[in-house]
Amino acid sequence: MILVRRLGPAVAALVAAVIFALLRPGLTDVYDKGAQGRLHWASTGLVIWAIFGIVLARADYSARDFRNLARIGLLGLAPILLSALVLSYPEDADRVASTLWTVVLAVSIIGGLWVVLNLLVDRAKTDWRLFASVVAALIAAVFFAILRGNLTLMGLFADDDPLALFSGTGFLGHIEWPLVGAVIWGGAIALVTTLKQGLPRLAVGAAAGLLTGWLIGDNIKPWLSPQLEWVELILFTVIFAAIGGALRWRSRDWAPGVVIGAALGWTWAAWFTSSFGGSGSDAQVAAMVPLFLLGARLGWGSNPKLAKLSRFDNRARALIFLGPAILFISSALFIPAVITLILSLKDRDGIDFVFLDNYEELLRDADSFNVTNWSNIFTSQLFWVAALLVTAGVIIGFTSGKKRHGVRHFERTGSAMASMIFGTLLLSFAVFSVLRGTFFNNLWWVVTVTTISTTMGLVIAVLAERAGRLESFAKALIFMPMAVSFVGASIVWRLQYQARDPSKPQTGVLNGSWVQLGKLSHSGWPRALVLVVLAALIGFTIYKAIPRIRVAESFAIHVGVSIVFAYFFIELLRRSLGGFKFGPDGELLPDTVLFLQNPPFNNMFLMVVLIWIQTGFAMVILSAAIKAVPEEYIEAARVDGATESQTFFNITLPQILPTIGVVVTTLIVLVSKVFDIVKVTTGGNFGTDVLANDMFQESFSFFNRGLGSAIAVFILISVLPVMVLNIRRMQAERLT
Amino acid sequence: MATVTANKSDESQSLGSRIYRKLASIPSWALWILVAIWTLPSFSLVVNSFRARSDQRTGGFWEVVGNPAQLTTENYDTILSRGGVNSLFDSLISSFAIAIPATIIPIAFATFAAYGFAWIDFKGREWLFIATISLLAIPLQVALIPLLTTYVGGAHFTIPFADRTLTLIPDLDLNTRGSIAVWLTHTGFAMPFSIFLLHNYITELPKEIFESARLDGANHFTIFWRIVLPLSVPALAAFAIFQFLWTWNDFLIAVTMLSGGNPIDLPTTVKIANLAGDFGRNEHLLPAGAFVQAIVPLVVFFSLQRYFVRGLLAGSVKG
Repeated sequence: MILVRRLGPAVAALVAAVIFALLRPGLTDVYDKGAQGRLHWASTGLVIWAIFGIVLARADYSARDFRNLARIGLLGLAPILLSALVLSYPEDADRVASTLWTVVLAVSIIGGLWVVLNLLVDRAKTDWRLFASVVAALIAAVFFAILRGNLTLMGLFADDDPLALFSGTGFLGHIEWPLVGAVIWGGAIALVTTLKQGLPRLAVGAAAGLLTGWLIGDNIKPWLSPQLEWVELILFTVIFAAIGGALRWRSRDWAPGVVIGAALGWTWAAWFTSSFGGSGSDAQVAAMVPLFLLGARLGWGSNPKLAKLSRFDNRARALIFLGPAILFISSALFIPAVITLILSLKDRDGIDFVFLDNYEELLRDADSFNVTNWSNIFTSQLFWVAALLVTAGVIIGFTSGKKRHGVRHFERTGSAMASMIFGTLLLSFAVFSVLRGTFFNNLWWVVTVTTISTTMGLVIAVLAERAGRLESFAKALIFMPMAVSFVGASIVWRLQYQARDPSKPQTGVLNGSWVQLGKLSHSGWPRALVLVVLAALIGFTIYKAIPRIRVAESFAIHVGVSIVFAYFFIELLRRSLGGFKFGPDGELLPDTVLFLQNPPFNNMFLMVVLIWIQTGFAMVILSAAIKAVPEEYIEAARVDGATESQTFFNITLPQILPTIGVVVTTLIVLVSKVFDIVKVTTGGNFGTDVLANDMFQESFSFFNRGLGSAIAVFILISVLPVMVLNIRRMQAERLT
Repeated sequence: MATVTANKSDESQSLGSRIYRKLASIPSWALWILVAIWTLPSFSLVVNSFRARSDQRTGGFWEVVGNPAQLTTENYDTILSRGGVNSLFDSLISSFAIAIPATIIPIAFATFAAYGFAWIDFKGREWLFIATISLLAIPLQVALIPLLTTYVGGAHFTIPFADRTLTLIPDLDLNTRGSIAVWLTHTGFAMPFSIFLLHNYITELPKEIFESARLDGANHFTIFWRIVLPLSVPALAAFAIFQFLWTWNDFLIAVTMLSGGNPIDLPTTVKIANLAGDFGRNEHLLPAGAFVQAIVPLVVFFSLQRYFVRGLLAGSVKG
């Protein structure tokens, strides 16, 4: 049985490979790449069946319940279906196969390299000689690869040389130098570590250095040969040697420090500060001296003792485990970020320094920072409604507050808070609708999406709490947009916002209903019916409100609701609702809303897309937090006669406040970087540009790298405070 | 007490009060209204994806109610056909070719590093860890321009105070190896977050396991391979799902690195965005395309929801 499990996958993979390779000629009459195509085919079959073979061989066949059997059945069916798919689309099989191979190769090279390095370090304790010589060979190979890759060295052997196994060009040309370096240094270090401390050991190391130095000096491209300045050379060598010795002074073992210092000083003076165009012998001297010193240093002393080795083991492991991550972090994040900072101070091609000009240009540009129309706010209806709401909230809060020491205190009742928060939000909309430009758009996004997503998430979490058995179903539906890409979500909402020529039938959901509403509110009896219903509702809420006049909160809710009804009643009576207009002859025509094209509120319709996505996120996190509030607190509040809303505002809300903070900070960071949605829906036109899109346009469409970098730095600055908060929080969580 | 009960029974008798109390019990149905509002956009998209171009242009998705004969798989035939100009077939392969390695490689590196930070003692460990986590604060945009320049022109190092430039990394040809550039970028950007997530998990493994393993003579490699890796599977799964969805749904990195290269390498997000930018010529294909693009993350999401939610909180701070 074990044999089947071990060998089964391999046999299946091989058989599949053979079948795939045999099937190829009959299936691909479109184009044929001969042996290479056959190889791709065989490899496709091999990979498919090997992967599923291994998974199947590891499956648990003892459990006979339905789910397990279904899983095994699906796993068994998958390779068959996949093979059938590949075989019936022969032209794409090559692409799939080569993609698969790249992936498999990349992953196995990385994994293999890492394991080999670890195994190598394992050997350091038991077999220092092997370890040291392999490492020396590797370092030498990398050193020569860089030299050769920079085209500083000629081919090792002339083309007509009988020894020219590899010509100087092509793939083999790339590896001849690394190979030679690896052989020289691997062999030398193997010999050095075998010999006892003393002169022979020193001589072997020095000889390897001299040999390499001679090879380099002999083969360096003539125009790269340095002109040696002897005074400078000696000066630098002495200075560096002194520094090297001083650094090692405290360990009493200062001689190696002097040697290495001298080698570095010589290299620096001979290769980096000199000018080109020296003779061949200059190059020889320049290369041989430092490498001689280096070789002598390696031949110095004895093999390390065990205590030192275990310290070494720890350091080497730290390097192997952290090295790849640090390499990626520094090369993909840290260094690029620093370069961007520098680029933001340079001109559009990144050559001359212009210092803060880019930032100044950003602030002067009316497209990014425009406050000229600020006074329009006083003519905006939105502003006055918002101001009214905030005032109402304040009044409700104070009238329902208790008198203490002769001063009325503000009571944070639900309706007072709700109208104040809502009013403030509307106020911010009013402000943002008159302050135009990329910066204000970004701020608008942050304020709107963060508050609405968090609030909606909280509301839905609370509502779902009481939904019983269907709670998780409702939550999954709300959460679903999280899995969809921003691009996909933008496509979804483009469909909702679509506006067609008003004379044609509407296809967008929103405009369709809007035009339909306009039609309905003009036709006789539906309009009359709605008017009657609205009038009844107004009457009813006022009737309910009167006896509650002493309970400020409840009274306010009723009055508020009746005001909303009254607004619709008056609007309908005055000029009807919905999308319509009148033609030249007074006939009724449908009228659409251009959701995406009408500034400034088209911005808000774009924000809806992100709200649609992120509400699910807020809901899931907040729902978990609400569930974590101890049941006893809520029970106690109920026993004390607290109403539902009092319990929520005074017990649950304070308990989940830290989590709300988490959601808000997370959303702020995410929204500050919004790009995809704007790019796909409007492309930043119609006054909807945001920082990230502006940055993309400037850098990659207009090729103004300086300005693009400056905008990127702005994004960094805008998220930095919030990120610092977030990271602090995460650190604190880690410690507890 | 008595008056309260009397009041209640009084109120329950009038019809108006009964309607009012129905309204007051809002929660149950308000939730379902919200759910309906949230689902309607996706639903209309799915329905429209099954309607022909002419139908999509003459009426909304609701017209299907009257004539179900409208439903057709025409759009999907175009989208999934091989080799067509508007086909997503190639870009689906490209999306997998980007998302799978860009999930596996960072996981491997991050697990190594998380173990290193958690259990290998070396000088400057705390300092290095804090530096790594701090880099979470760097938004993607900040690194984009230099990264692209590096991929196109290679990385060069000019030695300070000396007039010599050394090429460390040669030019990565974006035309033929564009997806490698995308892997590298995703890997770099996943690092701080994934190290943080996995480090949290790996430090909390019981200390006794490590001590007894060390007494038995196991070294770091053996401990990592035989003990830590098998124990960390839940954390690895959480991160893998998150990273897969992130790379599959990514637009910014792909559009930056691959736009100038071979069109066959474009992933689905970029391809769909391109279709959307075609002056409405391919508007009718967008619903089907968006649906096909979303089906993979949706399957992953619904089958592995538990892990996804776990990775979500920490995950959303990613740059």
